[in-house]
Amino acid sequence: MTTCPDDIELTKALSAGDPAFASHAATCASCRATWEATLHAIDVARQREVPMPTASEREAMRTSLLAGSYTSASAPAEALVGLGRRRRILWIGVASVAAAAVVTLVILSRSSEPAQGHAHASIRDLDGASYKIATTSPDEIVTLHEGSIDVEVAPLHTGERFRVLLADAEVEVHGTAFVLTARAGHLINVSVRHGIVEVRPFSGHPRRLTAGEAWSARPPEITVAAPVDASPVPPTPTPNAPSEPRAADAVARAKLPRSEPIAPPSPPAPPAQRKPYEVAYADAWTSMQAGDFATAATAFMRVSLLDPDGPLAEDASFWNAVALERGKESTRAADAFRFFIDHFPRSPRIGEANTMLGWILVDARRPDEAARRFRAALTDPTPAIRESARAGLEALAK
Amino acid sequence: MTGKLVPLRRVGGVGGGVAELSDEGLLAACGAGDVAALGALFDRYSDAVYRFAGRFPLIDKVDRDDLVQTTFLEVRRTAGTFRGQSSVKTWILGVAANVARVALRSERRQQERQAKYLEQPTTLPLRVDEQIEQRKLLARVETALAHLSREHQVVFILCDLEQLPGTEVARILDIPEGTLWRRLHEARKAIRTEIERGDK
Repeated sequence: MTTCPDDIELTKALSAGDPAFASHAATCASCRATWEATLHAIDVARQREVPMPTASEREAMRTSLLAGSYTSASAPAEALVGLGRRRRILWIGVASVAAAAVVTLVILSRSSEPAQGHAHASIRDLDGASYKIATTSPDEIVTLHEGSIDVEVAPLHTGERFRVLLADAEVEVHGTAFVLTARAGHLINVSVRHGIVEVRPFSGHPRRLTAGEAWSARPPEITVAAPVDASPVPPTPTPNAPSEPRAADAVARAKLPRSEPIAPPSPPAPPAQRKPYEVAYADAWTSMQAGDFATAATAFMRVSLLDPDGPLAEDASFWNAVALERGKESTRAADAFRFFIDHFPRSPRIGEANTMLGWILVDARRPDEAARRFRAALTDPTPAIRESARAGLEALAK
Repeated sequence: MTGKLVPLRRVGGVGGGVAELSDEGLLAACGAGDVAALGALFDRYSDAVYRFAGRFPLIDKVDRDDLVQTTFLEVRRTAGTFRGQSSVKTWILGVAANVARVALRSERRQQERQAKYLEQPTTLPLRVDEQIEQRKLLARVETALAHLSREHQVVFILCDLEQLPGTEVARILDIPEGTLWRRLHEARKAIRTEIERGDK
């Protein structure tokens, strides 16, 4: 290139990184100045902050999208373009009746690990409730944070459970229909249309409700008190028990192989000073060390419900997955690890989670995703994790 | 088997599921009405679409969410038209770009918002401070971007910020390449000019 390019040629050359133009610019002050000014402008534009959604916003979008996709299969395509906020919300509202069932179907179809069950519940959102289908059959759990849902549960078979989990209580049913209301994660009211419902406040006595009966939280009970029998004894890791996770120790722990016992943490504050999520966290570890992994997993999930953005949420999410894995709930464990990886991508445990998920997927005969998970852990700073990931890839190669 | 991290175990055979389908496979499944495939595509590319939407100047959360949602609904509706002439990611961003051109708030509304934005004092305290200078620089770029037409914004964002090849961008926007390069040139020049104006 011996002559200066025109504007369009210059634009194309800059985009394509044209070497001919580069050599021309080296000797042409005018073109070089334009080139450098343009690159500077692009560079500055790239530095603009791009607001990204929070994890819960993204999840809400996903849910409404999939629900909408299901209900709008026969809708005129033009109606989907240019939706304003009001129309979108209205449309989502119409779709919400089918949302729960669809989300359940999607969860089922996304997981190909063996022994998948089916959904028993039909959930109707009564007032824009914030809820999520956390797990599927045989132990279905719906988490409810805000609002009211109308739940109808088909008869369960032996070994199957259906629960609605809140920050301060869980509601278990056996083939029934009921309405449930929560505020800020706390259970406010349950009324039973038919069947039997058991309401189990974590800080009070359980109560069994039959058709026509209702349960309401007394105002003071909305804030969770420490359980009367909550043990203040700090969890003491045994050689094969999981380490006690504390957010402040996360980085240090990540440098250790997971199979090694970790030094016990500082004793927790007395129960009277502890926040509800700390109580749930301690409960989770008590169950974990007792080998009651199902209860531990539920308690770790409560931590996330009580304080989704708090200091323990990350560890609770990770150990929820580990508890499920140790309880042989591989499908749910895989989902829980995926959730953790998606929501805490900067966690020092990310390599560990990818590796553990990789091994679950190996067992579940999903080599492609397993390989992807192992590869993601190959750069983890912990040698034991890298080694495990490499072993996983070698196992897949065989 | 050695190398396991915790109590996890062996390799088995080879299986398959939605999550490990290729992008093209997912798109095909999506076109056939597979909701799980749409979910998987969302998982893979929602960040890219959110980022693309978030790059529009002055866009608010409602508009951004509208754009993302409408994009994926359009992806589902038009998945069958994908011909493999670009990557799936590029194709989805093309859908988002086309949605942005018609579905973001009306041009008049946009102009009103721009005017409101531009009325705000943009002169910052006179302090010799790199952070302040950087903020002023970013504000000038924001102003320049906000003054561009939606078509120019789309081209600039796709080509220069998302770094997609110009030929692919022209194809997914269904415009002649010459038009694309002209718009890109005009967009770059406007932003460059605004930055240089601030330097003087």
